[in-house]
Amino acid sequence: MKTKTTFTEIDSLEKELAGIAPLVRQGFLKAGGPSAEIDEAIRAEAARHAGGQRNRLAWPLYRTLAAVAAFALLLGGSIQLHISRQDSLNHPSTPRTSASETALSAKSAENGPGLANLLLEIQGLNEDGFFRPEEDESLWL
Amino acid sequence: MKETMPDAETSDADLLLCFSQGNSAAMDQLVGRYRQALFSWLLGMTGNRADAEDLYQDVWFRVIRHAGRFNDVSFRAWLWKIARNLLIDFRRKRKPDVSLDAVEDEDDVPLIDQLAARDRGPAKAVELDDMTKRVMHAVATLPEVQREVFLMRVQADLSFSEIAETLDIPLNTALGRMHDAMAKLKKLLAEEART
Repeated sequence: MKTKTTFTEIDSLEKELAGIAPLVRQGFLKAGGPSAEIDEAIRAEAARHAGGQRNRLAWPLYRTLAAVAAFALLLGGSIQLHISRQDSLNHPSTPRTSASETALSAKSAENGPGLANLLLEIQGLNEDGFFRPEEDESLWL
Repeated sequence: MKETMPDAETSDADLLLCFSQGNSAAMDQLVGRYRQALFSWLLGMTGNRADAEDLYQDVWFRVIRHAGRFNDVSFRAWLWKIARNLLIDFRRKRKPDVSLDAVEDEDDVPLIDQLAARDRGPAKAVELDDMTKRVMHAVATLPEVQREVFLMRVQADLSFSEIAETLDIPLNTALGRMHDAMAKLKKLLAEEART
């Protein structure tokens, strides 16, 4: 019956305490509490720590906002790329003339009838020049 | 985040939770609840106002820094566990123990009398009534292990099982120390009454 003994003991101790405890409390109460500086230091530390906690709790919000902004930017870029590709597929642009192509066309002009006529004229074999109108003939002679 | 003042009936654990979420008013309220009891206990254990103030500040700083770690059943028991651990550290650092009725060099005035006079000036010194004075002297002469249990019950209002848990001793040991303390106090007070 150990438990019963303990409870009986607690009861009797509490009864004895009831007489002496108020006197002890009164004595310490009259001795006073901690100084105002100590109270202020504790209050300041609590405020500083609570401020830090609030900032820590606010961090995830900023990080979420940054992540959403980055995602929106990526999404916008992808959409833009897709649109421009679609556009180029629907309206193919005219092929550009390159410098080599220009040189090639110049070469073909040199090989054309213009050059043949020139060569024939130099050799005096160009028959086109034999048929002149009458008014030009006196000057020719 | 705007700080709201928790109401007076908010539990200690809820106040601590509020503080962990950034509400410093909750800690102010919690400090207010245990201000006198904790300081009196420390004063009774150290017998020195300056040491009691240093320890009192350290206890609350520790509570503030570790508020998020609180997972005990009773905040009161947790608070006194912190206070006791800090008191042990303090004693280790500063060996010579000063009891409440020890005499300081300058004025040969017992510390118990100085406690009443300090911070108020000699003119405003609060008179402790005779009976209170005798009880305080008797408490101061208790051996430390008994004084610790006695003041935890009287000042901290901890239950005997909480005291046993805080001191990491069996319940019967706590009851035994309390029983011895009460017997000694009764004897001392009876002797003083006769003289």
